[in-house]
Amino acid sequence: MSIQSLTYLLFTLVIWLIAGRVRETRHRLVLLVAASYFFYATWGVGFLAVLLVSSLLNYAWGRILRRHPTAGRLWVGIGLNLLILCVFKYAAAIVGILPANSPLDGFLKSIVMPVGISFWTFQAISYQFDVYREEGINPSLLEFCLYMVFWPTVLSGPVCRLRDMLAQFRRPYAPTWGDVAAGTHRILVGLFMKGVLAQILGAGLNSGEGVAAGFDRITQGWGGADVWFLAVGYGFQLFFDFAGYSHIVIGTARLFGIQLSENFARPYFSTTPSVFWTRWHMSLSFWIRDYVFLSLATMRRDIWWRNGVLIFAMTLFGLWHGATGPLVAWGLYQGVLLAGHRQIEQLRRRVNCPWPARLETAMSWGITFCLISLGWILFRSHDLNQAFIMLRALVTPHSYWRLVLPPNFYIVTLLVIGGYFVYGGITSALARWQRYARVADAIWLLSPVYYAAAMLLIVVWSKQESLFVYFQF
Amino acid sequence: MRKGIKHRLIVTLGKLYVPATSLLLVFLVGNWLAASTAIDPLTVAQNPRIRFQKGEDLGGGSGSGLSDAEARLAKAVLGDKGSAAPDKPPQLLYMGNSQVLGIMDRKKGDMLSAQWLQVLLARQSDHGHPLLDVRLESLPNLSMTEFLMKLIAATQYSRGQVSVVLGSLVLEEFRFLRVRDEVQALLEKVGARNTLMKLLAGNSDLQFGVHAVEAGLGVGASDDERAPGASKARVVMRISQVEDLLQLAVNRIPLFARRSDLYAGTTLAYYHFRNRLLHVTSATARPVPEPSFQANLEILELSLRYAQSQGLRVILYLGPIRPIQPNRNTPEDIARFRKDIPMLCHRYNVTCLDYTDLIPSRLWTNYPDWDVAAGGQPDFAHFTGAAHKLLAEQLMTDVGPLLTNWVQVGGSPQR
Repeated sequence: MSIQSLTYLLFTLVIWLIAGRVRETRHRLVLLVAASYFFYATWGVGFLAVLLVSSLLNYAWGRILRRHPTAGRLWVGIGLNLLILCVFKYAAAIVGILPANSPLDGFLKSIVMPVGISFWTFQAISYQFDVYREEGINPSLLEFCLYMVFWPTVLSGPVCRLRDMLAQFRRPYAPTWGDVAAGTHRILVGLFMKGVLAQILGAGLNSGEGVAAGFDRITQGWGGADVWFLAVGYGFQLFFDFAGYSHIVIGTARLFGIQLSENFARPYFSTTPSVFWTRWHMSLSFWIRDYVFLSLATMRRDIWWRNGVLIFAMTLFGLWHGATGPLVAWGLYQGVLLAGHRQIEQLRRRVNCPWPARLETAMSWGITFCLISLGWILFRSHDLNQAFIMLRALVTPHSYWRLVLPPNFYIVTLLVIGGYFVYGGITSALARWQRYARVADAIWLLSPVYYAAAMLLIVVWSKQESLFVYFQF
Repeated sequence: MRKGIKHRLIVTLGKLYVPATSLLLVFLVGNWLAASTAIDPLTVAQNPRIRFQKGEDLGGGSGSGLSDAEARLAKAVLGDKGSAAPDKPPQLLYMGNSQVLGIMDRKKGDMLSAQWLQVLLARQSDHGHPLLDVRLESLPNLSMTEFLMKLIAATQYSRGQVSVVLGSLVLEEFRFLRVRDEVQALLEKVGARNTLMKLLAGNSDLQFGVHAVEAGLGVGASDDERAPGASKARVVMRISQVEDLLQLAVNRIPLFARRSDLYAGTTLAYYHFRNRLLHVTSATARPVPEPSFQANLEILELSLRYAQSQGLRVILYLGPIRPIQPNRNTPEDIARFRKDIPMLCHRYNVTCLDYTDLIPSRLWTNYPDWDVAAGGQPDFAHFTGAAHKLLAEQLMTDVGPLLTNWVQVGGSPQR
C-alpha cells in the first residue's frame, strides 16, 4: 500500500474512526498494532515474518539486558540486529564479490530485503542502547511491537526513540482539533511536495526531461552547467520527496495524537555543513550522533580522534544507504566536510578576521549550498566512474559552454527551486506579521484558497505510482 | 445558556471554515476546469493543418488515380496485418515518426508514402499483386529507443512474416532519449521484453546505447522497488484491486476523470508562456546534444544488429529537412547526421538513402494564421500529400529493383 495511494488515505480514515471509539488504552494499542501489521503485510507477508522475529528477539534480549546491563550483552544485541540487517540488506552486494558458481550464489540471490528494515533495525538498536544506559524504559510486548511496526513510520521512518513514543502510547487517547488540523495540513503539504514538486523535478514535464533522465540516460558529455543543475535539481528532488513523505507520516501520526520527531527543518537555508546535518534527515543523523559518534568520540580527547570518528560515522552513514562505492564516498565526503568545518571554525576563533555579518552569512550559505549539492553527484551516480566524469566536467571551464539536457529541464529546475526560496521568504515574513491580529485574520480567511490550490495541483499533477526516491534505502 | 450554545456554534463554524471552504473551492473550481478544458492531450499541440491518414476516402476514381484494387491495397496498409498469415507475401515494415504518418492540408485522395509504396510495388509486379505487404509501424515522435522496441515487438508479433525493414530517420528524434509507457506496454504484451534484454546483454560494447535503453526500461531499479511486485501474496493482490476500485470511483468526479487533460492543458500553457517570453519559434535552432546523438546512434546500431540477427533486410533513409532559413536544425547537426548514419550503414552493409534535400520548400506548409500559439510559423516536421507521393516514387526508383531482387532470390529471409 503506497503512502500516496487512495487506499492509504481510506485505510488511515477507517482506523482513525475506529480508534476514536476505543476508549481503553490497551485496546487502542491492539488496534494500532493489528492495523500496522496489516499495513506492513500489504508489502509482503514474508517481510512481516522477518519484522515479527526481529521484534520478539529484541524484546526478549532487552529484558535480559535490563536484568544485567553489561557491555557484552549490549554488543550481542547490537550484533544480532546488524546480522539481520546485513543478511537482508547486503546479500546482493555479497553476491558480487563471491567467486563464480559459488554454492551461496543462488541462496543469496533469493533473499529479498524487507521494506524499511534499515529503519526498524535502527529503532531496535537504539532500544538496546537505551536499556543498557538504564534510561528506565520498560515497555510491554504490545508497546514494543507497536514501536517497531507503527504503520506511518515502518517504511522509511522517521527513526523513533522508544522513550519518546512510550509516554504517548500510554496516555489516554484524546487527539484534539488542533492535532487533526495540524495532521491534515501536514499530509496535504507532504502530498504536494512529493506528488507535485518532486515529480516535476524527477520526471520532468515530459518523459526524458527530468533529473532522472539526466543522470540515467546519458553516460558522458555533460557540461559543467549541466552537472550543477543536475546536482542541485537532484538534491531538491530528494528533499521534496523525502520531506514530503515525512510530512505525510508525521501528519498521519498526528491524527492519532502522536507526535513524531521531525525529519527536515529547512535544510537548504543552512549556513554551514554542521547546521545542514542538524536539519536534513534529522531523525537518522541524530541517531548516528547519539549512538555512533558520541559513543566513540568520548573515548579520547584528541582533536584528530574526534575528527576521525566524525568521518567514520558519516562514512557509516553512507554505507547504511547502500554498499556501493559512490554512497560510501558520499559519506566520507560529508565526514570530511564536517571535520573541515570544525577546523575552520577553530582557526577563525584564533585569527580575528572581521567581515560584515550579512556578507559572511551570504557567503557561508552559498559555499554550504554548493558543497552539499556537489555531494549529491556522488549520492546519485551509478558508479564512481560516472561521478568522476561529472565532477571532471565541473572543473573543465570550456565544458560550461555546452548544454546537453532539454531546455525545459533548466527552466523547470530554476522555477521550482526559485519558487521554494520565495515561498520560504514569504512564510517567514507571514510568521512575523502574524502577531498583528488583522494580518492573522486575513491569513486565516484566505487560507482555503491556498489549500484548494494545493489540492487541485495534487489531483492534476501527481501520479499515483510515482517512484519514491528514498525508498531504496 | 443560549449564549453558550451560540458561542459553541461560532467556535465550531470557525473550525469548519477552512476545511469546508477549501473542499467547496476544490469542487467548484475543479468542476469548472474539467468542464471548460475540452482538449485531446494527444493532438492539442500539433499543427491544426495536419491530418493523420485514415483511408476513408480512398477508392477507385477518387482523384488519386487508383484502381479499386489499388485503393484496397492502400487502405490495408493502415490496418492490422495480423500475427501470422503464411499465404500472404512477406512484409515490409515501414517505421518512422509523424512525418511518415501525417499529411499537411490533406486533399481527397492524398496518401502516405507508405501507401504509395504499396501501390507502386503492386504496379511493378507482373500480376498486380505486390511482392511485399507494406506494414506501417510508425508513431508520432518515435524515438530511436522506441524504434528498436517496436522493431522487436513487430517481428516477434508477426512470427517470421517481416522480411524488410524500411526506417525513416529524422534528425529531430536524435535530440531525446525517451520511451513512452505505451511502447513498453506493447513490448510486454507481445512477450518481447526478454528478447530486448538479451540483445542488451549481448551488445555491451555499445555502452551508451545499451545504458540509455536500460534506463528507459527502468532496468537497475533498486531491489526495494522490485520486491513488492515480486511478492504475490493474496493480501498484496487484494490491496491492488481495492486501489483500482477506488480509482474507478473517484474517476466519476469530473476533476479526477479529466486529470490528464488538465495536465496537458497546464503544460501547454507553460509552453505558450515560455515561447512568448523567450521568443522561441518553430525556427529557433534546436541543437542536438552530442551525448544524445551518440546514444541514439548506438541504439540504431543495436537495431541493425537485431535486424541482421533475425535475417531481416534493412533500408534506412534520412528524412527530408525543410530547405529554408532560419532552420531549427543547425548546419553542424545536419552535416553530422548525413555523415555518421551512412557510415554506420556502410559498416553493416545496409542501404542508406539521403533524402534530406528531397522535398522542395513548396511542398511544406506553415502553422495556420489563426493558430494562437504558432500562427504563420513554418512547420519543419510534416509535408503535403504531393511530397509523400514524391518520396514514395523516389524510394521505388532507388530500391524498387533491390526489393524485387531480395524477394525473388531470398523469399522471406526471416523464415
